[in-house]
Amino acid sequence: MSLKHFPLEYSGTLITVSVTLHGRSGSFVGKLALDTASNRTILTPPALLAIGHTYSPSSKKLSVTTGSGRDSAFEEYINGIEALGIAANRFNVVCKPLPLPLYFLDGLLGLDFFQKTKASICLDFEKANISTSKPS
Amino acid sequence: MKNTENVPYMSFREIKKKYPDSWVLLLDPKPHPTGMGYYGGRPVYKHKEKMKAMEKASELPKGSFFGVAYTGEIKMPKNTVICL
Repeated sequence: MSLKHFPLEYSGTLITVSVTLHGRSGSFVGKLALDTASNRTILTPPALLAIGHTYSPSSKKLSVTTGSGRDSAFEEYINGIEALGIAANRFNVVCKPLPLPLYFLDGLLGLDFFQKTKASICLDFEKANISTSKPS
Repeated sequence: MKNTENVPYMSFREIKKKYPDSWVLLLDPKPHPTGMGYYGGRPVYKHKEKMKAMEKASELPKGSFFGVAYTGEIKMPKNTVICL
């Protein structure tokens, strides 16, 4: 199991991660907030659209519970996702807009990314880095 | 979108200097050696609004590798707690 270290990157006060999203039309490097309190990875509609995915009548609709109430969303499979030296193929994301103050984000990197890849993550605020490792 | 093939590669520092406080659509973005953010890319479009840059990305040829980077400083509203 090899450990990879990445410096902590902040956008405002949030920890953000550069995430490469692979979709039908291309690959997009977006900025997602690291949110381990979110059980799913969320992409904003423009981010999903940028890689060639959009809402269709066959999209599965979901109810999302947030800190401020309930919202509706849909889910979509994308070809792949890469972040912090970890990659997952055919990954199911939730599509939902984020509130306006978070205009600079393309989504949230949720717990499911680490669960699916069986990766571990460690935030070290003293060294100002994130370490990830994945069973080989 | 105009022909993007001849747009030269620039470092992110150069892009920030040339297009301050803008959302820049970058083709072939190069991840920063630290693994975070961009080291550079080929800037093919810029706009003050993120949505416009994102919309422009949908005009790129199929199979493109791209990013949308902000060259200004991200400011959070005061007295706001983010609770996602």
